[in-house]
Amino acid sequence: MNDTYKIGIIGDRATVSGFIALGYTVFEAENASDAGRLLDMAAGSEEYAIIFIVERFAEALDDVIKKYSGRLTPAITVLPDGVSREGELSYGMRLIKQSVERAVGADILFRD
Amino acid sequence: MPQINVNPTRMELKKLKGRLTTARRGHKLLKDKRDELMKRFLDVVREERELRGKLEERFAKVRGSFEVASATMSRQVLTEALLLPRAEGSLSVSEENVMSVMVPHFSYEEAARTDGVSYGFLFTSGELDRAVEELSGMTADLVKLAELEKSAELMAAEIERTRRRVNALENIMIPQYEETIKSISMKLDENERGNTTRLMKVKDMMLEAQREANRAREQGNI
Repeated sequence: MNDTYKIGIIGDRATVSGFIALGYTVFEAENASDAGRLLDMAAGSEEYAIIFIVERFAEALDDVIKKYSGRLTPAITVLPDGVSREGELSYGMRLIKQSVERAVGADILFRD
Repeated sequence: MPQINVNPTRMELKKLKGRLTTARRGHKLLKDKRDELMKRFLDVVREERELRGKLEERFAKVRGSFEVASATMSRQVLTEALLLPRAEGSLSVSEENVMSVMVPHFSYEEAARTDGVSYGFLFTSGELDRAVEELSGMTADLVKLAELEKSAELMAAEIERTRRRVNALENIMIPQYEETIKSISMKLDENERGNTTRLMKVKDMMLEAQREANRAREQGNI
């Protein structure tokens, strides 16, 4: 393990290009399978402590993301993309809901 | 509840009683662990939910700015403008122990913060500046979100494991031990009673034999 890590971000060009300016390592992906390959590569390199992935791809890559869930790093986080869904929960929110259900046995957070 | 198949001896009884005590103590400890973990987990998840909600709103704004920027500028200029990182930060990771769950703690340091942007203002629009500015303000929150999310994930897994253990102890192991202990002590008691009756019987027989002998002797004397 080294001391400093990088932040990676995977997504389509329009969403992620702004992050280049912030010093994130940006992986542009055209589609979900492309993103999955990049994710495996980035996670396997162990250089990244945090990998953000846009919601659109994350939703399709559930099984790839689950592979890394037991490990401390990388933390693969769904990037909130700010696309409104009219009352429906975003994928990131649904993941929170899922983990609550898993731990508590019932959803006690989103009931309202 | 099926009991454990052991010989009904005092030795086994003593062993099982010891195991039952250990199981009860373990059960209590694990239950406490589960409850405390759950408390921490819910704190983390509440914070995470709030932060994610806030970030989603802010992203919606950035998205708008970016769309305006890319509409007013050519794609080439936009790509070029965003090519240079304005400040490459460094991210360090440390581990934190929350109820024996190792969770990561990320600290992000923005290296030598240069104010403003890394591109020229001549060909770029003001919207782009605003979008980049807003994005860079979000970095700390994003890192925090990643940390919370990872912690919640690891804690959820640990809670699930602990809950399973508690349930296994409560519903299977402890009743099983109790049942077996009960049946062994019943068998031992039964043996004990059998012994007593046998002794009483033997005593009766001996007394009877003695009486017979006495009677025979008396008849002989007459």
